[in-house]
Amino acid sequence: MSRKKKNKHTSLVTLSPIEYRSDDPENRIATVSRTLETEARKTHSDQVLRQCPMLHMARAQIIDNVIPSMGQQPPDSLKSKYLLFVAEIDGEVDDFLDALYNGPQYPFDWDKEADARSKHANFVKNIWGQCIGYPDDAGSVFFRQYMTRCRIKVTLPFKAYNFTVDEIDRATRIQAQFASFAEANQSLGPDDLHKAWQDFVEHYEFFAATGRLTINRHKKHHGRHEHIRESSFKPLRPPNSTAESSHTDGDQP
Amino acid sequence: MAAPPLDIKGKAYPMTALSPVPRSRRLLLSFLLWVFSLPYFTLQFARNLMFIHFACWQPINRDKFPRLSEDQPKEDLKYDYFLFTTNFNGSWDQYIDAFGLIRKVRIGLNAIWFTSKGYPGAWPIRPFKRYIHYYEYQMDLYYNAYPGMSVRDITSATTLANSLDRFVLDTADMESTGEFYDAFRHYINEAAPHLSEMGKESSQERFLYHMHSRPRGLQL
Repeated sequence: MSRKKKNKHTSLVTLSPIEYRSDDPENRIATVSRTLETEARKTHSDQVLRQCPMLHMARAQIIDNVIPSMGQQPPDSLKSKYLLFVAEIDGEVDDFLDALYNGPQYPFDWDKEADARSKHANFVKNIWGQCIGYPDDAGSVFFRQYMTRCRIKVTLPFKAYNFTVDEIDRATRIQAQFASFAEANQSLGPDDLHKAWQDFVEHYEFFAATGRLTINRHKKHHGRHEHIRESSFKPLRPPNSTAESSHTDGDQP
Repeated sequence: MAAPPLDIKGKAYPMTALSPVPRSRRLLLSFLLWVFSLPYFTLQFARNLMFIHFACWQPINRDKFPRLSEDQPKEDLKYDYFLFTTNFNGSWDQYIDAFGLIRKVRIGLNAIWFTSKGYPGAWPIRPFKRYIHYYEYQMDLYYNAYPGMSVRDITSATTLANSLDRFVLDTADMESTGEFYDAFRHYINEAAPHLSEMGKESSQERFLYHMHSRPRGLQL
């Protein structure tokens, strides 16, 4: 059995030819342009791309021509107009394209899922469906095949951090929750603080989904945390904290 | 107030540039990109800036523009093209200024871009800005999954979340209130720098819009 290492992060760059006829008899450029503008004007939560949970950032641009070198005669000119699509995603490209084509799944609400599916399929149809070579057959498999034909292999990608969208979302929530906790309980004494902390931990959102922090709830009661990956943080307890533990100085956290 | 432009999402701003590369430099460009993609280099100069989310440098050879139908005419270009896409925090001017002003960044940038036709170098800054602006493309659709967060915000939030995970585990077995109190006090001092509030999408868009409202072409 082959063991394929799963990519943590992928840069997807595609260049899809839209139209080569200058009069654009089928209004392909206009359709793509209108769809992109409509999508761009939507609020963040309403955007179709928002429904792709693995997507960090994406852009779509119509490249109607290359910009010739300054002073070049005759200037370079494209014979077709292209759609440039660049996406920064977690995991595999096929998963992203499936999510983009099919939309989110609602296991207990078929009507909602059908609506989402229709909305996403129309979005793809109004953008890539206008491009040259897009298959007449509808379906995410054909969409994936088409995007593979348009894909340009990225030579030099750069990313500033190695976190998934889920990890960033979760970190943001944790940060907000802990900031609220710290602010609300900053004047409490040791007993009340400990109690408040236990309440906080009851609702704490542990992060086991991606394996970044593997945790087993029952194990922690036995003090066995040896499988937790060491990170680069400083020791959380002060040296000799047990011996020096005292709460008589009156300082508040 | 005028509506914010469509290409700014929260704190992130995208840029796409497509510059010509003479065919004689094709191999050199491929070699340079391969060298920079080696694990040894890691593009640390860009990472140290802490305001670039993602970027990619990609040559597109003149005969590699996708041709997906027999009807579609074959492209007949004189030059190859060098695609540069980036997502960064702050304004366009700040971004380009950082490239020009910081020596290490400038060296890295010059090494990648000098194969492009007419590239004036990252310093002095004015011809460099004119060059980038000339080859930049207008954005039609831009999406950002976390519009209120800069690179520093993300680093801060993930640092806090990871350290809090450990703190929760470390204190899970603490029965002594005093011991917990000391540990918490120690932890909160470490975590305090990471407890900043995130920006809001709409306010950040307005903020950045005003920073961008100066016409760029006039200041060059």
